[in-house]
Amino acid sequence: MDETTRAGWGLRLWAILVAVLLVAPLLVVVPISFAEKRSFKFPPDGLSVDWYVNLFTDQRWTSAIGTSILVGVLVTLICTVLGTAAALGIHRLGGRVAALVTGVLVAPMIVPGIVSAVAIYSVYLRWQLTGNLLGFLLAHTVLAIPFVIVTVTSSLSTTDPMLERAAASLGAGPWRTFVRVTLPAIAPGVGAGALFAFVTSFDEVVAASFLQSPAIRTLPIEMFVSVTNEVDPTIAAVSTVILALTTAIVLLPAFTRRRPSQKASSS
Amino acid sequence: MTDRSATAAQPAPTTRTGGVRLDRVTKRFRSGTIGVDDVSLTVEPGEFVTFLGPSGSGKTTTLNTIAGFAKPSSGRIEIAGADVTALPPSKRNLGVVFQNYALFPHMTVRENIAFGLHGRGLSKAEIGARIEESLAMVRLDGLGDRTPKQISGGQQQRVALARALVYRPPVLLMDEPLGALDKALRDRMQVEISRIHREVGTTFLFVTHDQGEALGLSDRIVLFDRGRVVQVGTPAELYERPASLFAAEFLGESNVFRGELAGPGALRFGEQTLRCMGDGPASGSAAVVVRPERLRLVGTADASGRADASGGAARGAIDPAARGAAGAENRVEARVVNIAYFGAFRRVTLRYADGSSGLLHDGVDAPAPIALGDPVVVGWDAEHAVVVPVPAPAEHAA
Repeated sequence: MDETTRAGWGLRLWAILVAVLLVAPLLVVVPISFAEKRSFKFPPDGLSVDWYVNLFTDQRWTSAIGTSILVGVLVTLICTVLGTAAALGIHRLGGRVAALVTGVLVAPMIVPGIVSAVAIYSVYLRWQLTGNLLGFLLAHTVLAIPFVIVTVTSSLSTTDPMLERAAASLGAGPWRTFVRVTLPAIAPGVGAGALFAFVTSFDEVVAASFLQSPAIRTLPIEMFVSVTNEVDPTIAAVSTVILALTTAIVLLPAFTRRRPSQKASSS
Repeated sequence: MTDRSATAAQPAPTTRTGGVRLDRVTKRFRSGTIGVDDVSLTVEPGEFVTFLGPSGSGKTTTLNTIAGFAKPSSGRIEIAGADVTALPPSKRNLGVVFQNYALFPHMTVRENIAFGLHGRGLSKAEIGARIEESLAMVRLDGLGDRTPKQISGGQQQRVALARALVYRPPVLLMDEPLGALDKALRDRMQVEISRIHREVGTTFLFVTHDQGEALGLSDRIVLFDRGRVVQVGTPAELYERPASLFAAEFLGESNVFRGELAGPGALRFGEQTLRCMGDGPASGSAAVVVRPERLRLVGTADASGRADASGGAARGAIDPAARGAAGAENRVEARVVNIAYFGAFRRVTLRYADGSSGLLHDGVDAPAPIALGDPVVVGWDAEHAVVVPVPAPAEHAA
């Protein structure tokens, strides 16, 4: 008993140290976002919500948020549909061809971002895909689709292959089998892939900094421009909002999962 | 054959459904190995046919070609009179029960059963009625709202059966459906499957490697070995008249005496000539197969190995007359290696002079007082000794 508590204390201290190192720099932006004056001083001298008001009223910031969300949602939709289809195809293909196709499709995850970005930029420049929405969508789809392929492939590999045979033997064609049997079985993988795709697009800076123009900027680019050109605590407000939202997204499944199990145990 | 009269006497099912015909079906895999080798087979409507064989013998692959999960490299498959060789599984209108049941985990029992009723032009009321009817058939009334995870393995098996039969397919395919169940449950499900087969009148094709299931369930057994059909017949035919050493050894247990044929119904075994059924081959290497329950203890042999069946003078242990074994046409010496008591019978493991081992089941009445290591004489009648060819001399030595 004593021994286990002592070992626990050592481990606990270590865990706290690691957590502080990881989280503390992030949490610094929270007080700064509530600063009264236009300064990055920490801790701030006075408190206000001016920078939050600015974030949601300044057309520069609101349009960047809008662009990021629009690009993120569209990229998520495209990646989820194409990535799931690709994963299904790869799964059925099997063998060496499947490994090759997977390698090609997943390459953007391994190739350094700057290399992809420069390549994308040089080609898109010629195709006149810079500075417009389509360019962002295509570039982000390429960069985000590996995440969907990887998560859906792993879901498929743990799904009983006999389920599709069973559906077929019961008279279901390929489409009905997919919608009623395969998709529900791989839904967790598809969901995780979609989330990763959105985050990848929302977070993407390198390709976006090549493709951006004053007319179309995603939120990370606007933040980058802001932090290099001016002292504006609005960037701290943006960071705080993103921090809150991502924390909520991570914690949400943990809470929703608990509820049905409680219901099941009470009945 | 004669023993199947019991089946014929059972009440006839309401409707006889379609049969299955395989015509020279061959399945070559991409690796070049042959899964199914030139199999032709006719299954009558309403018949219960078992595909029996060791793993890798082609029984499941054959079933898969019928289901449409595997495309035959050549040959033709007919179901209920229609050529289905080129049809996908979804268009073959078959019921399939999978080894691990393959129930849809995100659907309730009722939704699982309802899945196959979709797109068959049934009204909502009819669908509901069919589901309840099939739940009742497999005795799962009241469990319709559970999910597969909330019911036991045996219940999942019943759901799989109900799901595959609810749309009344002409043929039901089952791939080792009892493999995942424990022994007691397996025996109960065998009885259930037999009952359901009688009730629905559907043609059942049942794949198993378990000879007990095959013997207990089937109207006919199709025995597979290395991609080929080696024997087709009723359970009694296969058990009592195995056509090959493989059939004899795979289905049931046997005493095998290897030797050279010396004419129809006579096999040279060492210095003896064993009398056996005369309708087999008349010359060449062969073996005589005798089932353990056809073998009888007819006497003891003295230590020098000389047979003494003249009334048990050597030890006075076994009185052949009292055991009703006086008429045994064939007698062979053996040594008792093991004795195991099974309640209904006693199982004596024997070693013969040529080094091969054998088995004898003797009844519970007046068991002869034999002990381990005892030299004994066992006997059997020619009508219970089947001659099978022995393929190669190399195997003969082995």
